[in-house]
Amino acid sequence: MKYAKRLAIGLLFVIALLIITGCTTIPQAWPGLAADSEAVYVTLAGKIHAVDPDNGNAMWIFPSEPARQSGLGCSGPAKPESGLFYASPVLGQDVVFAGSDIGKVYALNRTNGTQQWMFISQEETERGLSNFFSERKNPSIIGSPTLDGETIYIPSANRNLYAVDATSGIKQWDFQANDAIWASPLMTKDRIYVAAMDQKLYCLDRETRKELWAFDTGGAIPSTPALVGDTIYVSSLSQQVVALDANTGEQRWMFEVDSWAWATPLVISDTVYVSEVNGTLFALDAKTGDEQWYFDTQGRIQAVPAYADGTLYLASEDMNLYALDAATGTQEWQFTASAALMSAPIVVDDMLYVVSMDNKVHGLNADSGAKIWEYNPTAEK
Amino acid sequence: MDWLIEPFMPIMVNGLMFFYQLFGNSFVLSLALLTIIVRLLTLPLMLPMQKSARKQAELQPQIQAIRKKYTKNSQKQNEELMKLYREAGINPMAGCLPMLIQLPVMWAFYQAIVRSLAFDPGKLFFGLGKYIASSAAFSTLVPLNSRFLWLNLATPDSTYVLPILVGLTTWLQQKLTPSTAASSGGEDQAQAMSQSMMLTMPLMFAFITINLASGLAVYFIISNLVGMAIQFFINRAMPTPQPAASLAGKPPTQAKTTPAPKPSPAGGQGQSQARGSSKRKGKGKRKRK
Repeated sequence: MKYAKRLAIGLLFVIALLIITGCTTIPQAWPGLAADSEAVYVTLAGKIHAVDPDNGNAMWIFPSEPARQSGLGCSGPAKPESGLFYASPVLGQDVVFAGSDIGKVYALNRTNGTQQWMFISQEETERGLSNFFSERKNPSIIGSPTLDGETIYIPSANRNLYAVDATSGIKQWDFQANDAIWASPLMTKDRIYVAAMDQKLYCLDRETRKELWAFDTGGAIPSTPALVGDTIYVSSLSQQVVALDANTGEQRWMFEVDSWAWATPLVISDTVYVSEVNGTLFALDAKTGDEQWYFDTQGRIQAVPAYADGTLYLASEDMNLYALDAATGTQEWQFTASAALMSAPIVVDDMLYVVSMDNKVHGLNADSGAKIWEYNPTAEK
Repeated sequence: MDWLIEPFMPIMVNGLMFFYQLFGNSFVLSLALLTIIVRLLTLPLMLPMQKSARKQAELQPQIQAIRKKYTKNSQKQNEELMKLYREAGINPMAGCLPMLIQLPVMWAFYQAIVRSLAFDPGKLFFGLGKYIASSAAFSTLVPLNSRFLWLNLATPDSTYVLPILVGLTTWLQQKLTPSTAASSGGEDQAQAMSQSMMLTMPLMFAFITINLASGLAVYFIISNLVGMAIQFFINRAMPTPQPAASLAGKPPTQAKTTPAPKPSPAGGQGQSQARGSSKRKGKGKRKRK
């Protein structure tokens, strides 16, 4: 009985600890992908990997030190010192940029992965009574920075958009929204469009950074809008996709979906492709917002589809990458991965790259979906 | 382990969202009301546990006598204890079962809070989005307002005020909750363990809270306060029994004045001890079988 009691108490302790540490299998984010003919860059489990597009071999990994083991209660590797990379890398001519969830943006040499500079968006306030009234801001870099000429524009979850010199990493200016900025900013010759989780799309004068207009979508905006001509298309968690006059911010049309519209809209010719997280892709008339066709998947959709030569490539949580006829929505083929596909696929020449949630990068033939190589960093030693 | 909490998750998340909206986007008020509701709903599961603990406390003198008598024969000791429990209508496991049943509910509530305060894309998409992405009413509430006093509920409290309050309220709640061993002068080892738990649990909770989102710390505090209120009413409705000093009881001078009669396997020992206790302490109104 004594031992039974001890065992029972011990078990309760363990259960309590598990509850307290909040073990859960929810992924923190999805891998990010960027590619050109020279390399495929992917952010996987707190590291940036450069992969040879010809054979899927690793060229370099940043940071190079291995991740530490996690602590009590939860499985999985501990957070690396560089933080976790939510956003897709951004490619410059000689530099690749990537932002992490601890607010650090790294500029790395594309050839060998050496760090050129690091920008810190906002350090968390230190603990202690002296900071009693200070506000702790979450400095995560969720969205990819936007590189425009000599300046890189970095969105941060601490509500700021930073303009940083792309060669030195020195801050030039910042703009603050009312809530986190998860989306990459859109730059035009004279304007900056910033979508924020405060449900607003801001239009700023590029030179003065003064707000020209702001449009409230009624829901948080987690992804980058699409700008084509004088129309800007915005997906919102208000279960709507809206088309706005890019000059005035006036609404042109609105398309309602049945769940969150998370992914960036994709505009090809006169059609805008939007998706809802419940797993449906819609093709809409870009001018009127009228539905042309839709395609259902069995999983959720987070990522914008890729497009090349009349074909859409749609990644779904159901582990499938669907190749669809962009005009009709007819399925041409599908590739089934080993885990959910939450990240946007990328087409470069005749290669299609997609990364699955089990941290594998798949190099496919863009025409047939045949797998050419697979990069699995956990197997690579 | 997600399968265990999944049936309760939509209720918890939507409940939090409903009250959040109702209270003008106040997460703390939503949390407080839902905590009260959950604690009240799980009360029927808690009561048998408390009743069982009280009954066991009442039987401690007999239990101690049996333990002493059959010190060297653990098999016989267990048989006699089970017999005693059976005769008193106690299922020793009855206390654990309700506790285990309500664990998934509490866990789901905890996870609902974690997911509601999500501020990274994965937790929002896979966590909260799973339950409210299709809800037109709640979709527009995201991201939730996580400001409360000096706190950002999604991040740990940098002032350490909440961890201290968590430890304090956990200790107070434990203090109010009668345990079998402590309330009845049970065996020394069990008492020592109980006392050790009284200290280590609040410390452990306080320590863990340091690195948890302050929304969870607020939940722990509210939950402890609600638990204390409930316990107060339970204690009034079911007063803690005051049985005789056990064979291992204290103080020794009292044990001397009330020498323990020979134990009998049928529980006669318990009767005489209980009566002895009544005389000595002026309580013990209950009759034993």
